[in-house]
Amino acid sequence: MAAVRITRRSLLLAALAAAGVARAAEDDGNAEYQVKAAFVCKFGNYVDWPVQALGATGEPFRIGVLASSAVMDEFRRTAVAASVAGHPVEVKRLVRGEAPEGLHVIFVSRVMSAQAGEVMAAMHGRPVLTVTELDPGGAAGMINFVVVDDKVRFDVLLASATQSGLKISARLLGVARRVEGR
Amino acid sequence: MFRLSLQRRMLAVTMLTTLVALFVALGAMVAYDLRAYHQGWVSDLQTQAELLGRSTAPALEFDDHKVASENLALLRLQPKIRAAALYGADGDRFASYVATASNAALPPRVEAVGVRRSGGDLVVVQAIMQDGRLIGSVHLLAEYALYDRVLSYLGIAAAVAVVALGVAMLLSLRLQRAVVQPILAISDVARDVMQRQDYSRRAPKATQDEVGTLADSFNGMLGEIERRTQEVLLLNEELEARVRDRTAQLEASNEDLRLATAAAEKANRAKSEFLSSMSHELRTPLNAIIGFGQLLGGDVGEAKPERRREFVEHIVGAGKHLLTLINEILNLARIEAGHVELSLEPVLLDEVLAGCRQMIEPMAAQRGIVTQFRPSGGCVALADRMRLKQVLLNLVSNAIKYNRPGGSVQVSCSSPQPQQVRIEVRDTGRGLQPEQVQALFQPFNRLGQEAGPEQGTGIGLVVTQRLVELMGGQIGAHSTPGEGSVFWVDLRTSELPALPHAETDWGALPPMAGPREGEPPATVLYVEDNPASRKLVEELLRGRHDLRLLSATDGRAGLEMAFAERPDVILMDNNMPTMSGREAQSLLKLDPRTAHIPVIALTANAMPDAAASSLAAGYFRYLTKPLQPALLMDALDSALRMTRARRDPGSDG
Repeated sequence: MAAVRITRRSLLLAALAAAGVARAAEDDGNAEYQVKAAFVCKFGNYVDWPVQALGATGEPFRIGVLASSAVMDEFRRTAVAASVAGHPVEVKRLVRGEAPEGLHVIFVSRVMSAQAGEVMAAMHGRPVLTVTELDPGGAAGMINFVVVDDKVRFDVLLASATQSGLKISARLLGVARRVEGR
Repeated sequence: MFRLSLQRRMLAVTMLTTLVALFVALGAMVAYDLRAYHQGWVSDLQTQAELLGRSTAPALEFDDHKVASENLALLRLQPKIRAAALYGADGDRFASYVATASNAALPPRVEAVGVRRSGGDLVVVQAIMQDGRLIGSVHLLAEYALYDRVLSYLGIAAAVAVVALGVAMLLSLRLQRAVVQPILAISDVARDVMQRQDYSRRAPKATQDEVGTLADSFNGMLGEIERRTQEVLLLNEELEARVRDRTAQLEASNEDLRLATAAAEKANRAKSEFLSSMSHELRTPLNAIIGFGQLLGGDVGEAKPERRREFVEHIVGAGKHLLTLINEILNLARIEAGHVELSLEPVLLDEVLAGCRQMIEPMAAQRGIVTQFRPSGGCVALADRMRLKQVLLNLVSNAIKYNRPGGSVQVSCSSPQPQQVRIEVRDTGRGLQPEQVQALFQPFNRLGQEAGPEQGTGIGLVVTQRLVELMGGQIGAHSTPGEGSVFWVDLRTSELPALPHAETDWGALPPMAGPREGEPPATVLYVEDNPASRKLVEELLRGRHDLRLLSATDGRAGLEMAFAERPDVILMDNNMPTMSGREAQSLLKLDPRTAHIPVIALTANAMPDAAASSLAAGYFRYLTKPLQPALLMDALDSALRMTRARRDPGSDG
């Protein structure tokens, strides 16, 4: 599983970093976003989508990514092998100001956190799973990545998901670090 | 034994059947159950693995070891699962769980999907799929309690078998009584019958099935045996009775035989005694004859004529006595041999007594004895006239002979009992001692008179007794020593009247024929081998001048001489060499030249049957030796008369 391998590698890298060896920030970021991209591609499987949201069979499950190109590449690589409820995964780079239509998931990377509030506001009430990597509080998405002990974990904000008409599976909640609004 | 054996066998059958049924049933149940257990357990574990896979799928997907471990830890609620592990999609172990108090080892790498056994455990490895993708594997290691189960089933089976067998045994014991009881009853009866031999026992018939039939057949057989036993017993009894009868008969015949043997021995002894006595009696007169004969032969020249005459008288007397003796012995022998024929008829006693008196008077008068014959009063006895006369003559002559000088003899008749007449002869002799009376009727017993003056044979009384007994009478004597004796004869009386009897004059002989004048002497041929006998006859006929005597010494010579000389009369001895008298006579009779010649037998054979048969064979007369001259002359004269009459039919015959 790519995610795990990535995690391992990230753990290794993290260990190296802790040992004081200077490493490029990009590499570090790549390992972390490998895991996060895999997670994001899998989240779709643990959400009860409204009937019309996924569309007909064969239609792509679209993930909008608001991040750097490197992250974007990582997402693209991961999406090739992923699928959600039988639909192929399609990753789309969000451009600022462009109305994100037909998306099922929107990921806002930490780098783009400034735009997070804007995106959240735009998606509010729509059945789109929002994933952020913000510090606690602020304009976090329904699922918010955190790194605990060099491991990628996530929190779930049930209230905003419920408001959007999405039902996050209890199984996903079982592996979340924290579930708010339960 | 039979009871135990049969019951045991039935019990064994029941037990075995029960056991087999039990094992088959239990085996089937256990097999089914074990299979169901296996399938159920495998299915359970697969479900468990599926559930576990489902629940741990997010932990795997989102790389959450903690949650995965927590999920696995829930398995503690299922103690039969001893260990479990999750493996990631790359095959490395992701999380694991090992039950407390279990040391199960989990493989570090994922194993092939499937169900298998490992030692006493069951291992189920199942893939975890998420949306068609393999995201990991579940590895469950659970107790596989099949062997325990088998063991516990065996325990249960054993317990059930014990209980079932116990119940079956009780039931069988209870039920087989119904089946076995009738058979046992029959067997009891059979044993009883064998031990007591009591065939009247019968087996009870309790049921109508085969056992009932058996009882019926058995009873039938017993009945048959009983019947046959009865028959055998009856036959045995009959046989025993017959054996008893036969034994009794045998004993009786043995007794008869013993008596007969005793009688025969007695008779033999008596005969021996008789023979020795007779020999003695015969020697006595022979002694006198030979002795005086030798005296005469030796002293012819010297002795006086008186002494020679005395010697001759002694010889003649002894010869006469010998003749009497032989005659009486023959008489007795005839009586003993049963050759005496009696003709019993009513006899008037007075007639017989008169005849006796007439014959005895001269003798009595010669001795000076008074005889007294008392009339019987018309008594009629059933007797042989001649024999009765002989008996009375014997008794009366004895009474005269052994009387005392000047004594008397009294003869009387009486009737002591009806149908019986008694004749008593009483003398006045010396009388007899009682032991002498007992020995009276034994042969040759002369009761001390052997040396007496009277000659006697000692046979007369024996003959008398036999004659009386033959006539159905009895004879006896009683005596008083010094006074005299009484001899009595008892005879039966006769109802029929006696016929008057014309007395035959036996004693009177026809006058001797004298020589006839003018006739040639008649020829007499005497055939005799003994020269003494020939000499005697020559001497006797010497005085007969009308006779010419020829002699031949045996039968053949006699025959030739008879053919040659044609004699008028032939005198023929019997026992001769070359040819016997009988043969010669029969040959003469066959030849026409000699058939007419009268042949007079002159033989020593004095037996009456010989005489009768000879007369029947054609002899003219039968004369016995010793020769009585008068009888010889009479016979010769009769023969000559017959010859002349045949020769001259016209003359007087």
